[in-house]
Amino acid sequence: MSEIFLFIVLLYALSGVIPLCIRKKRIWSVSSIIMGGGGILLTLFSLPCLLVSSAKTILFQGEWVTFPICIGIDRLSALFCILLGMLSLAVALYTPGYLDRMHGNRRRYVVSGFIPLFLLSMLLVILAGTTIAFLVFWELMAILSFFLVLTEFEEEKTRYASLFYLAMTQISTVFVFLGILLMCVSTGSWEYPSHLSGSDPLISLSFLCLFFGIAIKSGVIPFHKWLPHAHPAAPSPVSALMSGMMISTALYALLRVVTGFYAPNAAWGFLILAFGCLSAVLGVMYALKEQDIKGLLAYSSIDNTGIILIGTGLWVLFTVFGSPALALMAIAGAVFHAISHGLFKGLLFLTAGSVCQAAGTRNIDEMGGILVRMPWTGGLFFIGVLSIVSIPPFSGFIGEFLIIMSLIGGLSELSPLLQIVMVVVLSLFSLTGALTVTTFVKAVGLTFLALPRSEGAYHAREVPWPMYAGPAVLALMSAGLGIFSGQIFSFLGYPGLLPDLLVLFLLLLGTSVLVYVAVWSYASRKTRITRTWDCGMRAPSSKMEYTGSGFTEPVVRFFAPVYRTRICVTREYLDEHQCLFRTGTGSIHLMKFFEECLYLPAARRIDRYASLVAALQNGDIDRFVLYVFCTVILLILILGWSA
Amino acid sequence: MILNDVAPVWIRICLILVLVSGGFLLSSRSLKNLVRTYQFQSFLLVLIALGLVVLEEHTILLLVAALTVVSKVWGIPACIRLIQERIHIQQDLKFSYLRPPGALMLSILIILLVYITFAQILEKLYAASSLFFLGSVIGVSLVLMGLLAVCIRRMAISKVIGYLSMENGVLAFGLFVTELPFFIEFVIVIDLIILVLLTSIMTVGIDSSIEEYKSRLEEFHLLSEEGGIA
Repeated sequence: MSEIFLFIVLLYALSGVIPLCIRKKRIWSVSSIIMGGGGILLTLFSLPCLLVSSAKTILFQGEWVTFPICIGIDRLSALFCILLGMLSLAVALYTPGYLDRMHGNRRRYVVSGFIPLFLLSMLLVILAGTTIAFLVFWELMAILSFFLVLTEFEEEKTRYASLFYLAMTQISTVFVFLGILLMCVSTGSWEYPSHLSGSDPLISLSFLCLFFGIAIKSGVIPFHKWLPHAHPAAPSPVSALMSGMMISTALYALLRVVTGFYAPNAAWGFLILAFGCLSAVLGVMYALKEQDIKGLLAYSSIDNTGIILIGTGLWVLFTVFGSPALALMAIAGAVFHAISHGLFKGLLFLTAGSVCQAAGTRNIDEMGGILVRMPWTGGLFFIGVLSIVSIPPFSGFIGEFLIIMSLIGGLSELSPLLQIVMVVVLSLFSLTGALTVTTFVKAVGLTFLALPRSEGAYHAREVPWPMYAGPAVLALMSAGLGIFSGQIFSFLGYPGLLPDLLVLFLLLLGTSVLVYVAVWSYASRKTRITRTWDCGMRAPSSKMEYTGSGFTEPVVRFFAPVYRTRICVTREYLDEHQCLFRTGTGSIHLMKFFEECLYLPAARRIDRYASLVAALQNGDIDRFVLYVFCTVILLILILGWSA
Repeated sequence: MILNDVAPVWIRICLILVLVSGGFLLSSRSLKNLVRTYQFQSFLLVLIALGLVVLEEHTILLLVAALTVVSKVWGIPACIRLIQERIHIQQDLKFSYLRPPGALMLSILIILLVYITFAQILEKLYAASSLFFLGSVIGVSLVLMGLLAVCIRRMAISKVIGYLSMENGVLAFGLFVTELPFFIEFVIVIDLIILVLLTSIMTVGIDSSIEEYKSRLEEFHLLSEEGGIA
């Protein structure tokens, strides 16, 4: 086992190093082939660990300085390794074509080199068996992703997004580091702890630190602001990996921490549930308002993170209040949704990337009519949409179904107070579902249907086949995971958790075939050439189509208190008494609530304290030597005092 | 036998003189005297090492003494003198934070602090051998006095001598408490030689502070128009 694992690590490392060291034309194709091979091997390597072995298998053990480093695989990590393997394969197929069309020669080598290294860092986070190994790989993942976001560094927006991301990811690392340190102080070991009790304040603090560290990384509201900036700014394969895998890696860490490190605690359960609900509802609301297609998908990731958090929070509550069956259902839903989200979000980002590259814009309002021009890409995007809006039997449905079933079960099993909580969560969950459908009707309708609304969209052409073969792998996986979900759960030892969706799929397929055959048999064969009804307009143009903001206007008006829109009106008058109106403007702005009320005040305060510290650093070498001198004297004093 | 009786006294006298030389490095304004003092201080360390050879019979200390003679008593001072001859600067009158009297007062306080602290930390050594305890206290005090010299002196050349004195302190401490492996002592000496060589490359600015270095290059028309050194 260890040898195969080391070989996989070597493949990823090699595919990363080759384009960074060898500047040969289209060397990224060679790198992608090696990375794809690594992905397939990783999937095959992880499958037996998921299906057969329930115990943890140690793959590597050693020491780094004095810290223990352990790499091991168990069922949970194997599941996420399979996701990583599949995403590696999809990105490996997609990336060469994308890079061929990308401008800037040097950056193409850098992107193709850093992607496998980024994947490797995530793999090592998932397989880390000690807290210190986890921290090291976590930071490595953060740094590599920062450089990948910075790819298009000439653009002001990208630089802003990268710096924002760097700041947030470093805050996340600080929290994770503090959590690990507190955990080490409590247990006296760097090993992963098991079921620590929350009665010790130090342990509670360590949980909170870890939770907030992971929450920042997975884009939980209100720590989410980096996500809608960073994901659209990065190249599409990187966005797919960041949204599909990096968020899943953070959620894996959360699942590991909540279900393994600490004994379930009701207060923590409520905390996770509250953040989950907030992220799910607000995430999809922001997605609905977004005009940038990659921004929309990024916000949708926040919504899905919220759903997974809800499942995790419910597991804690059901475990504490003695409903193990419901707890199992909730956690199974959360884990399944994390995996399926990784698949369909990867698929959506890759196909959206193809569309953006072909149309030369990310703005939905400047697209339209893409399906006719890019049928394969459009079809695959539609499969991703079917999954994300939870249409059975696609994989997105399964996780949400399990979580909803556990919520409904909670209504009859729990105490009245908790039943109220369940009702509230259920309502918010349903609202999220409805808004997700609206969001993606907008995304599909305005992007792919109707007439093109810009020159770029008009001239868009289908991408080369490997660029839709990659997403096709994810589409197949996403559909297959849903259709065979019942069988998968039975094989894993949880029979009866889900209805058999294979039967449902066959029924749907059979009905569709029957309807098609019936229509085909009885329909008239005569060809009629005529104009469709056009409301009396002779030549409807693309200007008459719905715009993104027009489509969402009713929802925005309805949720105005949440969106916090600001109406700005300017008027000019001809006379000084302001009686005769000459001209004026009116606009509706979306308030950046979290930025204006949370981030900026915090930043201003930090800036104020930092300026005090900055006074110490005046560039005078004598002053710096004086600091060293004072520190040494202080240390001697402390030594003498404590001896 | 006589040597065994004389050696402790001899070492004690040398240690006191080392301390005095440290004080002199803080207060002296003549650059020539600074180098001479450093040379003398290094020579005292050679004598201490030889005294310890008599007491402890560790032949490796002979190598340390030989290395110190070659590098610190002869090589480094000769190199610094060469620089001094080129720059024609005799006095260092620039101080920051503390003038020499204040620095001397502070160094007395430092010695007291180190003595009290080490009496707590090295309790066993204190009980076993007062000579070795004295050596360790004076070694660390010399390190701190060297650091103080780096801190209060403005001229780069005086800072370098402060740094060299710090290393002498490390050597003194190593002789009495930890006994540094010869290899490490050798590497430190190489470091010092490189430091002095680098300093000699910057001969032009040796009598200025590091912040003034660029303006000094401009003064002597040594800066190219693009901003690099011509």
